[in-house]
Amino acid sequence: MYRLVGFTGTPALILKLLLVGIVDFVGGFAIVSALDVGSTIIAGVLLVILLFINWVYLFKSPTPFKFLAPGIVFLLVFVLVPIVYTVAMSGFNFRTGNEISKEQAIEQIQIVSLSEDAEGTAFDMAIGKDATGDYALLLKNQINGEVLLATLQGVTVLAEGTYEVDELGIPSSTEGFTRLTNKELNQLGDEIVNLRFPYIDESFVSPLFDGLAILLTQDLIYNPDNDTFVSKSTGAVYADNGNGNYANTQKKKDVLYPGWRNVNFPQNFTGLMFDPELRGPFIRVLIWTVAFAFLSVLTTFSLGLALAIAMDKPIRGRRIYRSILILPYAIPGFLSLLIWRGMFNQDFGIINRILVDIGLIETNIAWFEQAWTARLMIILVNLWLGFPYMYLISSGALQAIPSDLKEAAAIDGASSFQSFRMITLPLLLQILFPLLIASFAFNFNNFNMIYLLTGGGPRDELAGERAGATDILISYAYNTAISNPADQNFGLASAISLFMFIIVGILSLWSLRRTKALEEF
Amino acid sequence: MFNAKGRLVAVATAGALILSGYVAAFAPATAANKKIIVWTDEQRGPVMRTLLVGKTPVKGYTIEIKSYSNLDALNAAWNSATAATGPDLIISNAGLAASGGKSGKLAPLTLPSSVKNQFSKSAWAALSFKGKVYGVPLDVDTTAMFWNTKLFGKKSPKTFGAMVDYYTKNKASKGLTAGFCAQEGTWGSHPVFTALGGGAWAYKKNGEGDPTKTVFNSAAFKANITKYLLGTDGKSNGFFKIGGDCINDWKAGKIPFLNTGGWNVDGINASGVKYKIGSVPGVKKGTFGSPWAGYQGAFVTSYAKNHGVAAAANQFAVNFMANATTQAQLSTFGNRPPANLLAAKKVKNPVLAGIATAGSRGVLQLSALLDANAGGSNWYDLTGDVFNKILVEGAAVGATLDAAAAKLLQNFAAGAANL
Repeated sequence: MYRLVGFTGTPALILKLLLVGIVDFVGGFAIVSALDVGSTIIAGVLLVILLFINWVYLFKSPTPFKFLAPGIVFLLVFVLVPIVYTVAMSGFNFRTGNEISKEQAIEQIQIVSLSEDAEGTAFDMAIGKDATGDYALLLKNQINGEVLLATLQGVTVLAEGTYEVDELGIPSSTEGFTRLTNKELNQLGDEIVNLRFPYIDESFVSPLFDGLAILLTQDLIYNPDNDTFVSKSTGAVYADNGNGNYANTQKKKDVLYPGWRNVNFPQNFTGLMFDPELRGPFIRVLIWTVAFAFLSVLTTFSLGLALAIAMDKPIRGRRIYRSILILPYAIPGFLSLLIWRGMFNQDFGIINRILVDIGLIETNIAWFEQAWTARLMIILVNLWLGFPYMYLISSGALQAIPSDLKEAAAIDGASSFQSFRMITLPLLLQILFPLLIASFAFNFNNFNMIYLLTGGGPRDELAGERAGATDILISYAYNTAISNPADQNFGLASAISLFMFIIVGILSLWSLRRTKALEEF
Repeated sequence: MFNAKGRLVAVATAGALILSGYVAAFAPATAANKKIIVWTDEQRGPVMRTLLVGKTPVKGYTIEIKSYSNLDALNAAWNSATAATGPDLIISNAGLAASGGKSGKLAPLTLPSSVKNQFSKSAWAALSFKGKVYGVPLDVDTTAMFWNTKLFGKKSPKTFGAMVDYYTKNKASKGLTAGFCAQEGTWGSHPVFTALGGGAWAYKKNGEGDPTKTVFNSAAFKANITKYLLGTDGKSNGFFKIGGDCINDWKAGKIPFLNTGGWNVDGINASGVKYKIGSVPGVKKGTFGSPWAGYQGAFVTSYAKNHGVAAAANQFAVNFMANATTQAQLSTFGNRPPANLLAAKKVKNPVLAGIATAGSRGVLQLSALLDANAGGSNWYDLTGDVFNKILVEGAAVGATLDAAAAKLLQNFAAGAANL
């Protein structure tokens, strides 16, 4: 008997078919949409997922799959695919100006090299067909009023009286020309802009849209045999430079845009290692990232543990204190960050006001403008956001330490501090070490904190710094990839992300092994 | 589990549903061919919708306006746009021409002389990348000085020094928090820079910009910053405030002078402050600072071709968006002077006319040069850092401006290749 979420028998079967059908429907829609825009890889992945789901739920697949399938699909889509894509992109010259495919770039360069004549000659236009059934244009030059019949063979000047005009004064018919009907025009769609009618001196008339044509010349001619562009006006030859652009063979810096996404492995990685412009900021950011993650764990753990020890003793109102202590954990992090951002405002922030009022400072501190104050601010704010978590796990761990150990130490004459240092702390660290490593890895990638609080700044623009003083690797990768539309570099950002992945991966692996070792302990 | 018959039914059902998915996917794709999708920001979106009521700019096509909450959101969406998700036309600032032209995301426009002649050459230059036009100019993004007439009086300040004097004398008695608010950040600070003898690039005798030279470290600029903006401690005298929502203090009557654009006029009027509009005066009587004159443009994307609506999108941009009537109507909504010269002549609104007059002293905001960051950072970030160093940290004016000038020249040299 079939069973499904409280249903049995035929209703369960119908419900199952309905659910799988909905998935198939959505999947089919997505596959077709992906194919429609030429994303064959995405369509392929979706098809595999769809077949997998159908196999799992409609055929005799192993029972565990029926429970694991949704998780496997989400893991594939949201974890594995982005990782594979990032790894792949780190080997590409993928930046502003090098984003599309080579075929698209060739097509675009040809379009870009179309030029209007010096006078900007344009024609009022009627589209039709000539006696042979080929497309033809009946044109009226907007500048000199000349009326022309343009066919694929060339243009003919029409004498007055040999053509008729419509109510707008635009020529509409002549002998051997049959104007397209509105329905035919609508069906023509974008084909209209691909029509070219030879004019004089290698120029041609091309419709811009219904009713208007323009005189154009093509400067760059593509030769597919040797994969080069030749400029008719200068004679310059542009060949594939191996880095995603056509470059002038005589003048390497003269490149044509757009370029295309080109494999350039391992340039993004070697750039990070050896290019002084990239290496300097990268190493500086890497050092700060490690320092930030380490200090964040150290400060939050220290405060959390201190509070846990304090709350471990029976005091009046302990429950209320405990509730208050986990409040920062209960408030959405981004909200807290924005509030802290306001509190640290140089002119209006309460932090400066308090510091001035109690006489610690005389003039307001520009927290966001100086590197070390900004870093201090980040550590302080992260302490606020992170200590409740450490307090909670430390409290739990303290409960797990047998009290007889401390009692034995007390009998042996150990002081409270000695008992804490020699017994409580080592045992706590053994229990909490994997969680501290996980916290380190989390802070290593704590994008929200940096982005919402300082945006990675301050940055010494005058020194030409490419990374801010509080940028960590993830925010640096973001700034490299996204923030400046005029100079985005997705390939380099992917390479930086890969470094982060390796570092966090090693830490996680170490943590897992450590956990296993503890289990054996 | 199913028996053989059950499996057959299941497979048939799944197949039918996949097929229906295919049909469902295909049907809207066909319908979309008759739609021109326009992306814009939260200010122009509603304006465009109003403008299109009862109109059919392209026969047989509907215009779908998608507006984003602000320009940053629009740019973010544009950055991640693909052929599947991207628009057919995008309305954004002129800076898009360089990045969009370089990446191939924008389609170049071919234009008849009848359309070209309706705009200034500088408008077309602002929307070009490597000599190709990528957008139709819509309106001029510029700023003007608004002064609180209750504080300073109705007569305009004749010199920059007069504004500083007013601030110094009335700071304590009137509770002024600053003298001059450049609300639009370093972009909106340009009239102050130029009023004091600074600016981005130098100009040739024929009036053409010369990006091989900069006046950002001119002797006059150095001297005037020291004289008008610094106190005896070598740090800011409190007169000049860049950004940070200082407009709120202006609205509260705590700052007498404000430099901003027409987009803030509604908020200014709502504050009840009585004001007049003019240009930022220079250090000598009869001279004035120059705001940036940037352009907003309507850009046809290369995605329009993927969607099969390239011709229609071109027609919409060239025939409708560039049209003088359209632009005259657009300008009344956003208080931005129209780029179309015929439309500009029709402007009657006194606030808009005041902004247009101040803007007429503006200099062309060439994004290709200003956005370039070969020296490490672009014009806007670099000048912000310079003034932070000078006004807040008390850095030496001469050395700081000289270092900045060297960076700017690096940027300009790199950016000039894209003009």
